Amino acid sequence: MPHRFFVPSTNALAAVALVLAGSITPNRPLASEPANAAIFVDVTSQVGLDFQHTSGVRGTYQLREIMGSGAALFDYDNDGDLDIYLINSGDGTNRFFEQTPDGSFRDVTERSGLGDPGFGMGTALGDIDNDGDLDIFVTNVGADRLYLNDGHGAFADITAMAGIEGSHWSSSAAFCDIDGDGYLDLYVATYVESDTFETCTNQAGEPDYCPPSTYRGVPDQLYLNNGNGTFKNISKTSGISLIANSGLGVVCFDFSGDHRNDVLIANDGEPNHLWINQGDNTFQERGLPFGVSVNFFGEPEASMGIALGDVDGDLDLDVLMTHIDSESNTLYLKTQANLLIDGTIGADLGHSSVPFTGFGTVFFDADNDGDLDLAIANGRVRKSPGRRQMTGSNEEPDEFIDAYAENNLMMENRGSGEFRTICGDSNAFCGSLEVSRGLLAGDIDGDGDLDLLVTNSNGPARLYRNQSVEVGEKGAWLEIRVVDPGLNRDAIGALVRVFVDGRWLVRPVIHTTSYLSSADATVHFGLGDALGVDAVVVVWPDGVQERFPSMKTNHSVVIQKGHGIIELLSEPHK
Amino acid sequence: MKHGHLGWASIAFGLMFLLEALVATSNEIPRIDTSDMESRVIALIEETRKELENNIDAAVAWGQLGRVLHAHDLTEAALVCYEGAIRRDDGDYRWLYLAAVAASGGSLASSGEYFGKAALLQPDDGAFFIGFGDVLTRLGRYDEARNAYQKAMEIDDHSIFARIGLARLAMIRGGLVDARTLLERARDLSPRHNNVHTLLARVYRRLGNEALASEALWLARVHKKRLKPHSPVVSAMAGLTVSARGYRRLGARQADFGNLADAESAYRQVLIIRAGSPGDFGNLATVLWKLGKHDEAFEHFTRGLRLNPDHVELLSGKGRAFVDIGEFDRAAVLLANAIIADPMFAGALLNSGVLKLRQGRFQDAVEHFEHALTLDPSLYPAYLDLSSAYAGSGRLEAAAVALQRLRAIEPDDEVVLGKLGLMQARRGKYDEAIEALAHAWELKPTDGETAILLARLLATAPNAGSRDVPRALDMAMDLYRIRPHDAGLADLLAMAYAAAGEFDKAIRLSERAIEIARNKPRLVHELRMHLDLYRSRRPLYLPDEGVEMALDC
Repeated sequence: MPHRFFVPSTNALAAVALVLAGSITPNRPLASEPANAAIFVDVTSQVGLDFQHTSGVRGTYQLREIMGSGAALFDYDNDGDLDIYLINSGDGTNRFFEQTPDGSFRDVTERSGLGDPGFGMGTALGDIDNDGDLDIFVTNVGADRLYLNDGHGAFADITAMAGIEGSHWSSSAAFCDIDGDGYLDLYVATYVESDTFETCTNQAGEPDYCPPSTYRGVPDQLYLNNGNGTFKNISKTSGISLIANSGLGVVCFDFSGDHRNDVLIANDGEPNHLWINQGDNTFQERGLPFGVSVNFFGEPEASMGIALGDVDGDLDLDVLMTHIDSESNTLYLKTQANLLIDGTIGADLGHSSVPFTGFGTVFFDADNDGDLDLAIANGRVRKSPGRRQMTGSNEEPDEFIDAYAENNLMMENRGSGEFRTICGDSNAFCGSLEVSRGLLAGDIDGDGDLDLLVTNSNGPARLYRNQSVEVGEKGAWLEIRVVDPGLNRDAIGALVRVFVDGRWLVRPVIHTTSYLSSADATVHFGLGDALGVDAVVVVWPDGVQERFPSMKTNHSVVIQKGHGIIELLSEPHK
Repeated sequence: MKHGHLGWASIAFGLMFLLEALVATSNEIPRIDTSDMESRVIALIEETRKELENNIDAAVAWGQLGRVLHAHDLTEAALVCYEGAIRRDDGDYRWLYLAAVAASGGSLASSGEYFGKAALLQPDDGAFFIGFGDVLTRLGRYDEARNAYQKAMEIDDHSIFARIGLARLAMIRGGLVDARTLLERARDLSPRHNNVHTLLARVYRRLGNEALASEALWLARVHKKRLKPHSPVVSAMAGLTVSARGYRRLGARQADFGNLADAESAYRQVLIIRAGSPGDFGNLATVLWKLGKHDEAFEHFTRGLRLNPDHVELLSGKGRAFVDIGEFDRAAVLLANAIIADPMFAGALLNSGVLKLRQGRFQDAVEHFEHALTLDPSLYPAYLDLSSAYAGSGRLEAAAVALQRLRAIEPDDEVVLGKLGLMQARRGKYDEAIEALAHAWELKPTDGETAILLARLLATAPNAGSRDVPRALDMAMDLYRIRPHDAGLADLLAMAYAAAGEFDKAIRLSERAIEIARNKPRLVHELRMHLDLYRSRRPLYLPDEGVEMALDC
């Protein structure tokens, strides 16, 4: 597939003036018809994505068997299409699939050097040496791995040389610039201590996986990028390791509004952590005062995955965390005072998720109507005693699937931050009954809508193609990659806003999201009936705000820092 | 999007309830695959099932099987049975209530329906209405939720949970001042309730009061327990569990309430049912130790450690047991291993601190306690031990500060107040001592030790402004009346009389005290010094710089 990015001209100031004069109506879809169809079709076999995850299930119910694994969705060779890295846990290694020009995938694991045989959990993408290609960190139960991309299709294991000392059960991880030196630092969430000594039974006395409270949490790890291929472990001096926790999901972004990267951790069964960057390589845990540690009821939940995005059109980034069955998923709406307030009930996201155990989750514009919809990968971690008999499915040959599989969920944003379930017949994403874990959205086929990649525990990875364009019901779109030429890489931590049809839309530039997974940082905007965007504003990670001119729809563009008009920071775009 | 279809969850639950309805009308008892279950669970289900087969038209029999299944998390089958009970007796709210609870883990809408039907029966059950209010709140039916919480309040005017529910609804509607009022009242009613402090912190922050928000946050951090309304109906159902996991939960609950014998019994059941994990052995060993069954406790610690030699709680618990019996060397090895295995485990640091304290290594002890409290500020015993360690090294001010930190967490704990009063007296801070002791005595007027110390300070504080001689006299008379053969109390009353200028009475009582204490030469020596003072018409006052005294003076 040819490279599909181009750089726009920078001299359309008239359009900018038009934007400034425009009125803002934040809470309505951009499409004249509010509901375009989002049709997801399972194309896994069709595109040759042949991956079967194993986690070594042997009837001993070790917790690690049920928790993984994740994936990475990124363009490793800068050829303009997205490739797929899939993590394995038990027998076999991680596998790497390169997308070919015809849209199919071929296994290039051996050539890439990414066939890590460890008990894999997740991935973190980031260009750690600012050479313009994405490197990858792999979390394992045991020693983690850091792979450096040579830009020619091969990765080198530089773990030891880089000084990455991970030996715990690492879960999600994220690269972001903690100290503002231009190099991406590494936050590694760790889950619990060894899971090998306890055996658990459920309330009916059936053997089952232990809850995480059976084990002791382990403090997370923070590594500072020295800029020379090595990292320094500052977990202790930064304050991160002062608190043990059972971390699963990670998002690194500026939550406090001071243009420093903070770290949000989804903790399993205990209050979530929000580590606020103090600007001197130290952090303070402020989850409770910021409102994201416990839900509206004041209760900590079994948090797994995290989605980040503006669901209510107020230009603040909201947070969704997925949880175990009997708890709902929780939507934290960000206020202008940087508080996160549980808005689950008002968004109608509560009761629909109560029966499910959610893991991977993404906010994405499924129907290109401008607002962010929601996908959730579900799969239980505890048996539902008697379930098999009640549903009459006791002839299911795979006991693991029978006990733990669930359907996934997709929710449509009705344009005002309220959601409704959209798991109809044409939505294969919801139809498969599996133990899903990782979930990523990306325009894998390059047609302007977002497709979904799902990983399943002890099951196949699945690729769901968004077929909206094929049925002619898709809205317009714009994909933007924001690059800092001074750093020669994506501007991780930036915010991209576009002004379209009298309304601002915003997307964060991040790699790590969801659960155990990371993706290409290109941002995608669905634009409904619009013919173009009137302006694009990028808030770079250092707080500099730069305005770019109008752009036509249905394009993928690259925006470079310094090629627009610098604006005052204080301008509120709301 | 044009897909207006029902979600998978709705479809699944719709089918489930359709199935259940069919089953209930056909008198068909749900079949359970018990093949992987523990034998006791199987036996109980079979026995209850047979009861139902023999009484197929009895609502109670249906309800009982529902409860047994529910107690073992077989909620879908339990719901079928509850439906059977409801169809046969729709006037018993318990089946509707339990069906609502069982359904709440899957379908809040169904749960709400069951609750609604039960509410029509107007049960006199506060916990029921709290649960109903919570489900309605989750469903976004705020007005109905408010009614439910208010009903709970009508049943129990002191309901913390109703206030919390109403406060949450007020927060949703932006009524932050109302929410604050409700939560502050709930906090006054239950100062150790994590939810109250957490929600108060949010309200204070949204009201812009950062100082109060910080204080509430701190209290939320140190009061970790999230309490739940006690429901006799739900508890009775949960109490039917006979699985290992059920017994383990029961043991933990009993241990939490201080019912150690019941906890021991439950934990023993766990080990009868299954081979036992390190945690199972640790639970039983800890309870056994607290009950004074040391040999058996050691045996279980050892069995657990045999399964996992690095189990931090077991290493720490066994180490502490060795500390308690004075085997410091063995304790030191185990506790060091625990800290190596998990440097973040505050319990091991606490126990290691206790070891240093007992060894007289006060500075080491201080470091361990401080570290433990950094990791877990809710570790109450660490504050008391920290105070002792500071006091042991002569740092009385730091000792008092440690107790003041604990008082900030537990403002109404008479033990903390008593120790703080004593420490302030030792520092010569008599006003602070009197204030703390008076508060302690107010909380527990039957506490003789606190009363004695308070009366003594009120009678003998060096600063006239600190003394309250009439009150001291009243207290001392009351105490002496109760125990007239106690030399210390006779001496105390003598001090009070002397302070009041009634030296003749002081002399008579002092002589009486010497007579009672005649076999205790050291005490007699001290009492004679007091008598000499009174004979020279001088009262006994404490020195300005503080005085060594014990609560059991």
